[in-house]
Amino acid sequence: MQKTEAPARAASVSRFDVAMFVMLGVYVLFIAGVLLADLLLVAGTPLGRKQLGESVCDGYVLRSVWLSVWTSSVASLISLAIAVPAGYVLSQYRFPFVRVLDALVDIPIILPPILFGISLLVLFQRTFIGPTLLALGLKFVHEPKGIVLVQVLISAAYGTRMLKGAFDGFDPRLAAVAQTLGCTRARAFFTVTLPTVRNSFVAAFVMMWARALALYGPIIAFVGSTSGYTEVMPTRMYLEMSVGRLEAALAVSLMMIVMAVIVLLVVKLVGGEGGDQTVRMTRV
Amino acid sequence: MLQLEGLETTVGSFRLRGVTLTAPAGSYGVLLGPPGSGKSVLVETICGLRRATAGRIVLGGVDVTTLEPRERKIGYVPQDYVLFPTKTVIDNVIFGLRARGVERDEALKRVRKVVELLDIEQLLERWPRTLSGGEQQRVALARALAIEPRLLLLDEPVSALDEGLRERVCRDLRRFQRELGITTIHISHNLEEALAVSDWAAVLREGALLQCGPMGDLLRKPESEAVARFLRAENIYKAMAKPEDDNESVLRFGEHSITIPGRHEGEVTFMVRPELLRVHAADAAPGNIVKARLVEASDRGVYRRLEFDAGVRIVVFASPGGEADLAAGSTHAVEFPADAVRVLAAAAVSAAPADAR
Repeated sequence: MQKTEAPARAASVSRFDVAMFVMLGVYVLFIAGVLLADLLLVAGTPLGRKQLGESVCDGYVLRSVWLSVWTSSVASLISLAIAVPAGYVLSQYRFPFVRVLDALVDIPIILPPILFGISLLVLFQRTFIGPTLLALGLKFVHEPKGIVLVQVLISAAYGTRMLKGAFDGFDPRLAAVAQTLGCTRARAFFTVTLPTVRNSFVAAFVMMWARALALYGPIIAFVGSTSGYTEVMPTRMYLEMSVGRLEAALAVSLMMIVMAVIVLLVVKLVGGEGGDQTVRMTRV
Repeated sequence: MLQLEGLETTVGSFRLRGVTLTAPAGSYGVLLGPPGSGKSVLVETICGLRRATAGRIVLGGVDVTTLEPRERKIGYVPQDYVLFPTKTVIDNVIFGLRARGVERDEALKRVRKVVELLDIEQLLERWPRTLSGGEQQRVALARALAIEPRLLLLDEPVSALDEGLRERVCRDLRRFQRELGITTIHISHNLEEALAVSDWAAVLREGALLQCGPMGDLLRKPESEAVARFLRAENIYKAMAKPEDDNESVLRFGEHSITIPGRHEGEVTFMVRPELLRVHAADAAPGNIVKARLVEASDRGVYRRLEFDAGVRIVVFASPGGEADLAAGSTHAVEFPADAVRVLAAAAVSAAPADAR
């Protein structure tokens, strides 16, 4: 959406304005408080600093960082390839059962993530799917490929939902005009439709990447957590917590926070400011 | 030249019903009709954005009915102009040429004439969102004309503009069209727009083309009640017709009766144009007289509008100062000249073939 200039405010601040700002302030304070508590415990205590130093140099931790980064990145790209057409179809086409499909896409969002992982395990181990794929040389259970699969199935739902919203605001006449001017439908999609929702596209990628990076439950259920092989950062964090090494868990958590901030900054710089250009031309 | 032969399409519950029409090469036509009459659907079908379920679209002698939109070479300017918001004005204008594989430098050269004609040189580096309505319209027109289309379709091209701008922009549209000699069809629901620009006009209603021809013919000789009402004709009446003989019939409406040429029978609808009615003193006794009380007289500059009550409402356009004693409340004899009465077809739509020539 195009940002608009805020109308000039009267000098007095109403109770309504105060209430709005208070709600935002309380929420932001909680988030900042959580981050600050992590930071203080890790960087503000000798044990925390020691654990951070050890974690940064620990080969297993570094492998979990790398595994998290590459699986999340690959999964986000695959999810984008699914979410763009899925969001477009759900937004722009009208056909029987479109609402049913729309609701099905929300299942990975609504289900508890660990239940999704268990269900996936059942699908692969109790039906013909797993053996069939295995016969084709594709092994997912207890394999890094399985991490990507879980991440794709869950992240793509978030991306689809977000991009459907963006395509809902897209004026289909833009693509229609492009076709009359000489484009095929595919070319009109890539040269007119996608650039128009560019910011949602970038935002969906970031959200899917972040979602994939943070997944824990379904990965534990479907892939397990083998140190140095299928252990991603969230599972590493959980295992550290489960043996009472709170500072070590928080050290990994701090590394995740830093990575997330870096990615957000890069995307902001690459993606630029402003919203999608989906606002229909207003009557003048 | 554009020829539509029995063109049909369906959009949800709406159906375009066998539209037959010929737009002569280099002419400027206006598709008129109330909202929901199918004007935009017809234009989108001509463009190829909707699939025709029956009939043919022949453009310059070539049947384009099954061609993809990009293969038809039709310039289309949608309502509100729909400029590409992520491209500058110049990139909007050369978009069609670039899509057809023309190099950017060559495309810039080729659009120079259109850019000059539409006077948008100073806008080329700007973004669509910074343009006024009139500027957006000229850019959208340049974008459509840049591909050197065989036909230009304008969907309500001035409806998004201020009232004051519309007339000037209509004149500009007509000037551009004349200079380029391109066959143009302009959608509108506004009678004044059609009068300002059209060589011919067609009236659509409920997906059917009711009548087509020069605007003056449509106004003077509407064929149906629907066309007459859409063109805001005054003095439309329901009457019972009874033939006197093969050459004359009597029409009874309210407490009045008039005799007209031709054989008519049963319930009919007829109209009389206000400027063809004559007002006489109350005791005058020519034929086809209706005694009526003057309700309102207003001076419109070149004519006076007189509104009478005779059980039915009668509107007369009289020359100024022609009749004495036109005070409200006075009684007069309003003459319906027999040759001024036009019997209309029923209001139901018909899909009669129409030809703009």
